[in-house]
Amino acid sequence: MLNMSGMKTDISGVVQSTVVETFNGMLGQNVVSADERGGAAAGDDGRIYACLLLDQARGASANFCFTFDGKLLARTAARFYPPEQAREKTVQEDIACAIANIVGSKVKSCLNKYGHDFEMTVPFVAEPAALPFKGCDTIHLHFSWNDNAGAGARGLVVDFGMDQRPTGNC
Amino acid sequence: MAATPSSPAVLVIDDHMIIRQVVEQNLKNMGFADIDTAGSAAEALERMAVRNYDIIFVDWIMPGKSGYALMQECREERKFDDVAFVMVTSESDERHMIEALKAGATSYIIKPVLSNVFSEKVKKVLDWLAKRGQKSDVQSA
Repeated sequence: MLNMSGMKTDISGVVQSTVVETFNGMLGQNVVSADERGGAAAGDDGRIYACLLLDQARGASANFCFTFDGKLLARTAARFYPPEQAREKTVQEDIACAIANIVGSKVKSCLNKYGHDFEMTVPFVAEPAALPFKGCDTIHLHFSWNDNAGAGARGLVVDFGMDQRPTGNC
Repeated sequence: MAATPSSPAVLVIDDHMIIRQVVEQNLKNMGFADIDTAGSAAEALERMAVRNYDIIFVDWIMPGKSGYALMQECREERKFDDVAFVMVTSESDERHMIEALKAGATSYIIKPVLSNVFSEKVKKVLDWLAKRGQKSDVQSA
């Protein structure tokens, strides 16, 4: 029997440190881990959802959904691309999936250090109506960012759930 | 390293455009001037067919042929003996690192790509290239 509670704690720590390191160290942003009340909630407009699944042959799975604020992705894109290109949704989706991929890989490595054998799917963009992991017993990790307007804005929420059913779906 | 006409020729291969941009920007900050990019192994092979590179940065896992498989194929050809392969990947397990180095990677950079780590690793790759160049000079003398 897996220690799901311990694994969730480990995963939360890895997600929090990797999201911050990726945004701040690699992408030049100012993102911090926040509690659920921290930062103004972003509107639905411009949100981008990236999902991935960690699956284990023995039946445990962890599913992740990253909800990015479009403004954070736009600002990140503007650091690397010309303005017109930075506004393209495909460019922002690419950033979202790249971040999800890095975070998911770190989580996989953390879990596998303890002798597990999780494999990770390629991150994919999902529409809100089709989010694959709705209804799980999820943990929500919140991140805010400094939008340089003096306010901390909600930049990202990472939802993840774990179960021991073979398919990984709730 | 300063940008010079003899700047090493570099190919950056990653299916994520943002990672290609990050690597390219880090290289430019170090003075590299001759940088090509490819979004897949297939595109990389097209580029490698028409010109030679000194350093190839390659992602491990990509749709289609993986960067790992691409590197293995290249390492079987003599013309890549003096080419440095740098695996840039999210795979941070030690066993992956060892596997990549055994398969011919010159260096291994774990994502997220952090500037200070990146530049240190690339400096060591430049040292490796310099030593290979000296060896080639000796062999051809």
